[in-house]
Amino acid sequence: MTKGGYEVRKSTAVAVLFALVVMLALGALAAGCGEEKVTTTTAAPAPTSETTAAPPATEAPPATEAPPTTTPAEPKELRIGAAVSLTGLFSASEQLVWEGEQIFESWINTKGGITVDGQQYLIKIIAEDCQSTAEGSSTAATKLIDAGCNFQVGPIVPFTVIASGTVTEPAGVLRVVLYNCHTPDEYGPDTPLTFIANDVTTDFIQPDLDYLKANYPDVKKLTVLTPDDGAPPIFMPMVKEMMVDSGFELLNYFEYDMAAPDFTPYVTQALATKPDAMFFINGWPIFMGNMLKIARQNGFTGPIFGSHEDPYDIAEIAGPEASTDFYTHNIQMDSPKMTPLIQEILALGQDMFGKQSPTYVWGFNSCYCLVQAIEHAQSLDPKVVAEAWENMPSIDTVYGPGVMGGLKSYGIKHNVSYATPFSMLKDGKVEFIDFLPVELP
Amino acid sequence: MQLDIRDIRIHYGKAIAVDGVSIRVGAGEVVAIVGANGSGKSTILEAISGLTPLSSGEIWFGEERIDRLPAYEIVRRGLMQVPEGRRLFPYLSVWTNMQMGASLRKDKAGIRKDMEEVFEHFPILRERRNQKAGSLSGGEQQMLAIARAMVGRPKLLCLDEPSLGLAPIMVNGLVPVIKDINEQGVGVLLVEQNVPLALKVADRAYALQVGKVILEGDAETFRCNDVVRKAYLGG
Amino acid sequence: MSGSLLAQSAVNALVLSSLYILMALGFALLLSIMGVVNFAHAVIYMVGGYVCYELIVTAGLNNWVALAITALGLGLFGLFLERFGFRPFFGNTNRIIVLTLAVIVILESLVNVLVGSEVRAIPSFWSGSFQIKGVWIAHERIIAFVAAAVLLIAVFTFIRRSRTGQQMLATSQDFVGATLQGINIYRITAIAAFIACALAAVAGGLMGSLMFLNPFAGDQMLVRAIQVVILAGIGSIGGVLVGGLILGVLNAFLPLWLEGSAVDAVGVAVIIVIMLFRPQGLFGHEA
Ligand SMILES: Nc1ncnc2c1ncn2[C@@H]1O[C@H](COP(=O)(O)OP(=O)(O)O)[C@@H](O)[C@H]1O
Ligand SMILES: [Mg+2]
Repeated sequence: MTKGGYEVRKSTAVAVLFALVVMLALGALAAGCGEEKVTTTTAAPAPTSETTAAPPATEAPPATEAPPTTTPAEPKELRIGAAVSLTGLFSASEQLVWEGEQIFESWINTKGGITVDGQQYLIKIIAEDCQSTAEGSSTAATKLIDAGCNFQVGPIVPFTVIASGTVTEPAGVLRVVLYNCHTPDEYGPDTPLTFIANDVTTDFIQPDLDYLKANYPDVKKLTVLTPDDGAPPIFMPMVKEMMVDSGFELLNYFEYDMAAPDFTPYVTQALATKPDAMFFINGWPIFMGNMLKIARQNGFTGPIFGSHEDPYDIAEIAGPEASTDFYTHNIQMDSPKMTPLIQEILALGQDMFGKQSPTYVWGFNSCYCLVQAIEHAQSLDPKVVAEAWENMPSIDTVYGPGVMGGLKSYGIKHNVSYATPFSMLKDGKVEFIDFLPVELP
Repeated sequence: MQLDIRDIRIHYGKAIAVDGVSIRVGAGEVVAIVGANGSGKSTILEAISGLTPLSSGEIWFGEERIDRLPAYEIVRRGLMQVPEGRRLFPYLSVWTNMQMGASLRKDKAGIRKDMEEVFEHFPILRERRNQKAGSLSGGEQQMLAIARAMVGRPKLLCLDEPSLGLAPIMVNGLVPVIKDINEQGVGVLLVEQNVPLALKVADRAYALQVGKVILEGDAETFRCNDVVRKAYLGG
Repeated sequence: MSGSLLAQSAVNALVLSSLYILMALGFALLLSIMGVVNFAHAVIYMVGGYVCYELIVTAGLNNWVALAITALGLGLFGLFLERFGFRPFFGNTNRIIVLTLAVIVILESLVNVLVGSEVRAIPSFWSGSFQIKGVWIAHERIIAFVAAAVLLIAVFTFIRRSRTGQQMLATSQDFVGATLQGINIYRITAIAAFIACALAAVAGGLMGSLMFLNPFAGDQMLVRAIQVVILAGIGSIGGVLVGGLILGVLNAFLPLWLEGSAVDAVGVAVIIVIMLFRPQGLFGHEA
């Protein structure tokens, strides 16, 4: 401690803070125009040289012509990359997705993996962290390619999906993304190697509207809350059309900042439009659960529809009092109406991670559909698999039988479509309603 | 001997600022250190108060070696300093600044009494007791710095250039103040460039030049010394 | 824009402001007293939320008891951080920045590994809500505001009225000057670190029940604490009140007119404009 030190220290501190303000400003501006930015993030980071690219499993020559029954060849490893946000704002739910993918890995390998061209493959799923950012997602995609993954599952949130696609598509990697919000850069004719194995944004709307009509005849006016991830301007016209066609009025929609310190301003604005029912389209359980709580605290008693978000997590965030009349396209874990595979996944989750989560089923399903496509194609070439997958007459999902669809809606027939589970929160408890048919042209 | 500085050396990096200085202050004595700007006076006071480490040598206060103690422990032993630049608390009131001087005292009544006494010396501070210290004039700030130390009731008080920045009239006012402090039995180590002032109040003095003591003796010796006369007393 | 929506937002602004102030006060204390830019401050907030959750849900304690224990526990962590982190590197800004960044990485990773895949919120401190003149107010928000306000009054009273509090102010204004009055500055810095971390932990507990828990929630809160301190002006403890209020108002009202993350951008722009006119902050002691 010398005499002059103190002043020096303080002025350095001030300088550091000034630098921070500037960084904050730039960061905020960058976030403000996020969507435009991510689409241009084509420059993938240089592959890290320390990743000794294990000989890509896909280039492995077919081991033997002999049928596997006569001389069982050594099983090989097929690497699938999992692009998930293990850190950052989305990490809580995406870590559950990753756990679901690990459950799949264990499940499929217990069954002996898959067989392609007579060769048995055990599945190895490798995760890379997307960090809940666009940059993190393109880096993760690159790292996964370096690690020999010509097939990837994930990511989920639109701007991460777009960023990852700028890497995987040019690299010829087949990717199963876990969600879609209808922005053209996410998924469409320009992303011929991207598939989706579960219901997404707009798929839920029509079944919800039908349910509303049948069960809440007095409900006419609807208001929407949705994250400002760049997608609402694109899917909201479709949503509005469906609502109007079904005889409802869309009062307004509000986009919220997922990093907002408090969702009250958005919810109170939505309530000020005096809706009969609200739709929370997209967004994670942490956001939806919080908005559900705020809506109920602010006297809203109408039904709320929350895409497919995990009702258990939503109830955890919203608290028991607020968790009522909330509908979501998800499962009730302890319902006997769940498919045997769902029950098996949840039991495995209990064994492996000491808990159960509907999100396990979601993560599992993408991998499950992917390996079916690979086996169907009898090839490890992503392009061959993509073509074969498109033309699969049927495909099994954890929720039941599925078909390929999406050509009219998205311009490519890369969606796996199935009867979507539908549950509600009632007095803090999850109650399964039914599997609702989804039509995906 | 109250304060005994034994052959200390102090470096700033490689540069030597104080080079083998020994200074002693007896109980109740007023001792001055004079010397040009940069001769090492303030550095010595900082070392005494534990703000600057010694390269070698020792500093004793009473029966105890203090040169390795943390600064606040040295104050606890009764050695206070009115430092260069005053180091007031600019956004605290005059009153609170003075209270800070009594940080180590527990006798509330005693503190009050001493504050009153100090206000007798500096009536202007009483008037301004609710004003922020930073808003005082330079002279008032110097008074406050001294007043703050007085409330601490030190056994030995070091003053670093109290005349700096004061109008000539006010400089003369310092003489009775220092004498009064001394009369209460407090030893004073006065660092000054204003040699006439120093010699007015000091029993003994040391002259410092580039970190070395070049002359020591009683006030009379100094007044008669040619070098001192030429350099500081106007011939 | 309806009147009740504005009134609602005003209530909301108060609640947000009180929590921001709770956060920023500790950050400002350590900055002005030790010159430490404690980037780890908001990670304490995050950990506070999780500790509070465990005490309530796993250990089954009463919410308030749990919150008090959380504050105490993280206050003690603050003492530890001050003694073995800040004090040895006193005055070495670079080292302390590296150290606080390391604390962030360690605590975030630790919490992420332990409970990362759990979607959680602290059970409400008082569920339900009431309505006055068309404005709905949730009990838990009132209670969070009251708790924050009581704590802030206590801390400000301590700082302004107690001898130790005055010594803290003195130390923040002239460190060497304080030392020369015999003030044990390490005692002061330790108390400041305790208060700072305890307040952050309480903010974490309250916010974790109003919102949700997230291992990375600290990242955003740190930004907001820094914004408040910049608005207040480095060295101003009282200015934190006004800085927090401004940020709370911005965060509660801007979303009424702006969409999504534009709110943050405009918030920062407002701060930059204020800084242009008053580079030292609204109440800054130093330019
Ligand atoms: N903090 C410091 N760092 C480096 N050099 C210093 C410092 N403080 C003083 N010095 C140097 O030490 C010498 C003595 O300074 P000082 O003790 O302030 O002299 P004085 O008080 O007699 O004017 C000068 O050469 C000065 O430049
Ligand atoms: Mg000097």
